[in-house]
Amino acid sequence: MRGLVTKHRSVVLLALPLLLAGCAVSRVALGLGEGGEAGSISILDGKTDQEVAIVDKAGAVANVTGGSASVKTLDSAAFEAKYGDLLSGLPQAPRTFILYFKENSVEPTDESAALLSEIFAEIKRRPGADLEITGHTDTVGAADVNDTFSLRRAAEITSYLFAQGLDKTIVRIAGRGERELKEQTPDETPSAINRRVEVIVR
Amino acid sequence: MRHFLLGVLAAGLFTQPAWADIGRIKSASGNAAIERGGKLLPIRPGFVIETGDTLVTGPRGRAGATFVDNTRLSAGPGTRLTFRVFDYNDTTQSGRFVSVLKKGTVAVMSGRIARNDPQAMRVETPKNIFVLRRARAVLEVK
Repeated sequence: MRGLVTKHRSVVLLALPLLLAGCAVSRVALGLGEGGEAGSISILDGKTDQEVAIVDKAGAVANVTGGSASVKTLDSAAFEAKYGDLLSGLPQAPRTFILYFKENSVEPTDESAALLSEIFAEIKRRPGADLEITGHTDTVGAADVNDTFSLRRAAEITSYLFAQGLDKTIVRIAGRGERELKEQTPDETPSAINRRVEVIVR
Repeated sequence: MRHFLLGVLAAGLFTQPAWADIGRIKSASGNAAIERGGKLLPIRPGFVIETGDTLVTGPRGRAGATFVDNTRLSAGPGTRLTFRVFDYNDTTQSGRFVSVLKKGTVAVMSGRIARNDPQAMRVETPKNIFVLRRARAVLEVK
């Protein structure tokens, strides 16, 4: 009886890795990025966290299971035939609108005010659209003060857009302070180009 | 009794993080759903994704989503993909995004999290981890 139990258990132990192995092959296919660069993907063994391979060329396809990997490269036609369908199923890239303001004011310039109808049209064009409204400052003033100030400017344009009929449930606001200058300037430099709010429609 | 109540309160806090909204469904067809807390929720464009959600598609199901850091993905049929960790700071635009692909296929266009930290965007499969650095790629588990 004891022999039987042991034997039974060893069968189970043998079968378990085989069952797991049936669902363990992963594949990655690296496409060309939207800016034309391939980027890269590092592949790690899930058990040891050690790097097994890096793919960094467009068209590279790696088959991996744990610590072993094999990499081949497809030409663009073969890659497109195999993966083009899935990649073209990606949601549209977000679209950014930049709004500028009158000096020392939260009122948009005339050109920027004219963009508002385009923003609303873009929201309508995208099923399940959501918005990020992000404020930016120039380099005048302390960085942490500018963080707060940029968020305030974003909040102010947001309430302005709400008054124009924007759906309140689809908006996220952020303040980037002086981290993302549109025009590179030294510190403490006034810049109408940097004082802006970006409305990103996703 | 007091411990029981504390436990209930803590569970409530952990299941409802302060920033629940991590992304939105942009397309769904065939059989596609979000599994949350053991329940399958039907999805359509605009559905709000939360950390811990699992995107599930059936044999003819497909679904696309865009996240708040501009990461975009699209799941093919027969997929099970869990958004396990999503930490994101709107001001610095950096954070951490860990997904678990148990089976199926997913196309990914990385976003700000991957751009700002080459270690931060990960997809775990049963035996491997894929670290995405500004990549547009298809991942598959057979």
